[in-house]
Amino acid sequence: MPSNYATGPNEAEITHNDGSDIDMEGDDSFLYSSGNEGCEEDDYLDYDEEDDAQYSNTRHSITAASSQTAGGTQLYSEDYYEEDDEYDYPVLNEVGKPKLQEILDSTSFSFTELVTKRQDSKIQEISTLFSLPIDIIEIFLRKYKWKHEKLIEDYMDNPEGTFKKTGVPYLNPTGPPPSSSSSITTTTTTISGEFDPHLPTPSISLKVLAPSSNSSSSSSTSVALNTRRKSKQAANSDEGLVCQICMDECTDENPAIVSSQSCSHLFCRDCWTGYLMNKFIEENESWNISCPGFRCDIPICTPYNMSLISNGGKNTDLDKLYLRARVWNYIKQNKHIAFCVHEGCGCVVECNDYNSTLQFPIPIVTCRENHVFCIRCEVANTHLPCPCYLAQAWRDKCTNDSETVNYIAANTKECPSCKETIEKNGGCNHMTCRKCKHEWCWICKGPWSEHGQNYYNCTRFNESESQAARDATSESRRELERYLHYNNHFVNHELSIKKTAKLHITIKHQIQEMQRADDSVSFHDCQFLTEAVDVLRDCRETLMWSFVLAYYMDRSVTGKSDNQAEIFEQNQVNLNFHVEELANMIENTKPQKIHSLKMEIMTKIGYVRTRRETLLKDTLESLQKDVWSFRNSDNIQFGDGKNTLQNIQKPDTSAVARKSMANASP
Amino acid sequence: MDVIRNRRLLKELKAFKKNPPSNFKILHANNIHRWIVEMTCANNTIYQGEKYKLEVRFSESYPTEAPEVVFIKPAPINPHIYSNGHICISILSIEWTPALTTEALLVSILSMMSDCKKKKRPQGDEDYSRRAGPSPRGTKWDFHDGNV
Repeated sequence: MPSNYATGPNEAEITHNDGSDIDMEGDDSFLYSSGNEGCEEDDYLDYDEEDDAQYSNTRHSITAASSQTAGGTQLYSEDYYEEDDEYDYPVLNEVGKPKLQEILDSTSFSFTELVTKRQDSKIQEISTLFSLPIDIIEIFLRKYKWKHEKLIEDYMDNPEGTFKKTGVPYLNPTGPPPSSSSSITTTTTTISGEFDPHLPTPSISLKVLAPSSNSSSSSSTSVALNTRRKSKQAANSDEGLVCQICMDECTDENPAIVSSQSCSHLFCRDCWTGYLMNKFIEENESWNISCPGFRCDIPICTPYNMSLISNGGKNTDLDKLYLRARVWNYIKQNKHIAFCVHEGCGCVVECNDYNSTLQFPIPIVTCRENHVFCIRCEVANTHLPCPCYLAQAWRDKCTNDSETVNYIAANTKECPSCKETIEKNGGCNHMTCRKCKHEWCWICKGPWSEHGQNYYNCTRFNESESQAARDATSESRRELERYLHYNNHFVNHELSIKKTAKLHITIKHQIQEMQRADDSVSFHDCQFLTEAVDVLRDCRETLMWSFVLAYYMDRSVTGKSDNQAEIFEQNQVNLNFHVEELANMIENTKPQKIHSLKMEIMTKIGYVRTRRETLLKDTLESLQKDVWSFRNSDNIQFGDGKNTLQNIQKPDTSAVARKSMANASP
Repeated sequence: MDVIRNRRLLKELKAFKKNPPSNFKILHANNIHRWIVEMTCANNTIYQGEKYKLEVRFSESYPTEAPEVVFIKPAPINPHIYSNGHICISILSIEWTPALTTEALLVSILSMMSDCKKKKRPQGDEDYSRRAGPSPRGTKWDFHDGNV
């Protein structure tokens, strides 16, 4: 293999085994076990007694009101009430929402450790550099998509601007960075340690407020915070704190937690948990969650805050979801790390020399399960030797219009005068263009004036006018044919590749048959056939994409590159020829004969393999030297060298980008 | 989920009954997950004196998820309200947070209507009303600005 495209396996490539480190079965009920179910019943009853009479009154008066307006438009009929329960309003929340258990099951927690460690060390490093709490650094890094160089640069230039940009309330870096703990599960001791008045309190940190003044402080957290509350909010101590979500008073077990000093929104721990779980499960994000207060943009999700909400790691589900979202965020934002794109494969692959391969744009990686894919396109299989942007352009082109193009090529002709595409659906050969009124002959494309009365027979195919007219229209038609030509090659190879699995089975049967016929043939002796199928597949894939490259290659512009292009084409033709020969050998030979052909096939395999490598190496070299220019006909955005690569971004699968909006019409 | 929803709805309902916001009256909430509210439009606006009915439906994930609010036909004529009763207001979808209450929602709708200077239906109203299902949740809303 040439060394200028990267192949795994690499260090971050860790396969998910069986998730045995998560044991959460039968734990579904944790969600909202606030222990107050009985209370709900009571409330219901009370309410009914109080207000039932009032309701029936209301109902009565409405009925009267609507009958008053009966002459005009009746607002809504009385049955509207009666059919209350049968009324068929849409069932919400039933469809399409992922279940918690499914999410946790599908997450590989084995690689999370590694990623987390890396995240933490980066955060710690910058925290020391800036003298800021790690929580703030974490939010910075998320907003900077984990590009720490950019963050450091920006921060050094304009610290306040960085705070503003990331939505963190400004905090003057003073003293040493607090809490050297970089692990997610911050212990209770470090929580209270954070509130040491000598250390800067991160203004984005949550604060626990104890529910009532005489509360027996159950944990050291409450002790530390109780004092704080007393000094600050003595006025509120009589009323008890009411959560803004569930509107219940907060208790010792379910204490109130305030978003931040600047917004002072207050919610109970259960509601915080519910809010965050919902965000994690449905939006799968950890970087963009803000305070639940209306139009409040204070970022919430930091390790410290999470440990406070999950009560120092007691709520393991919440912690795991957070960890998962945090790691996913990191992976999605880092271009050189990716999940394996093959279905059901939980591997994470890192392309270590992604940056060096940026010079050459095909970062192909292999995961531990031997799945091959391009880490930039995030599409299964390789597209060597075609650069990513061309491959992407081709895929788009094929999905958009290959069928239409086929139809146009088969059924239409172009008006010789205005080039409008015309379909002839009956009648004689005398065509009159709707658009430009040009009259022409469908058969020879010459002007109709020469044809006279020959409506159904054209005898003028070789006359000079007809010839000229055909030449003119063929220019645009040629483009189509060119596309179809390459597309045909591409599709043919693609189909053959799809049949590889089937071929494998056929080969297996053949081997068995051979062994039955001749005892001296061992299983090992026949492995060359399996190998041949694999080589065939690889070669077809390379050929497939080499046709794409050929389609986009612009031979007319660069005179200097002609030689290279020639070599490329020769290589392609040669490989194509021998691949087909090999395929023929395998598929069309009788099982009895195959064994005698062993030597021949083995030689062919070796030859084809070297041809493929030569083609790849040669093409990659030419691409790197930038000797070819590519056609712009499909409006592919590319310049030269590196710009090319920046234009093709990794597909952004992150959650819905939020826009700031006011109320208005759709 | 259900426990939280019911407890909170009862509290909201009680608060609503105790201090009813001016311009709003709960007509019907026997099914606590579905309220019918009457709105009296504010004075000194183009809707002065008009009364409309709103249906508020609370899904199981309330208050994490916003309730569905639609006008019961006939819906008021407003550039943000479709004739099938659907309301295009960001607070009902992307701007909803569990810290908001139904009362706040209703007041926002009233204030949106009060800001309106000219009675007209939104663009493509006929088309949308024919196409849309009963629930506005199936629609992907796009919010522009409040000045229309």
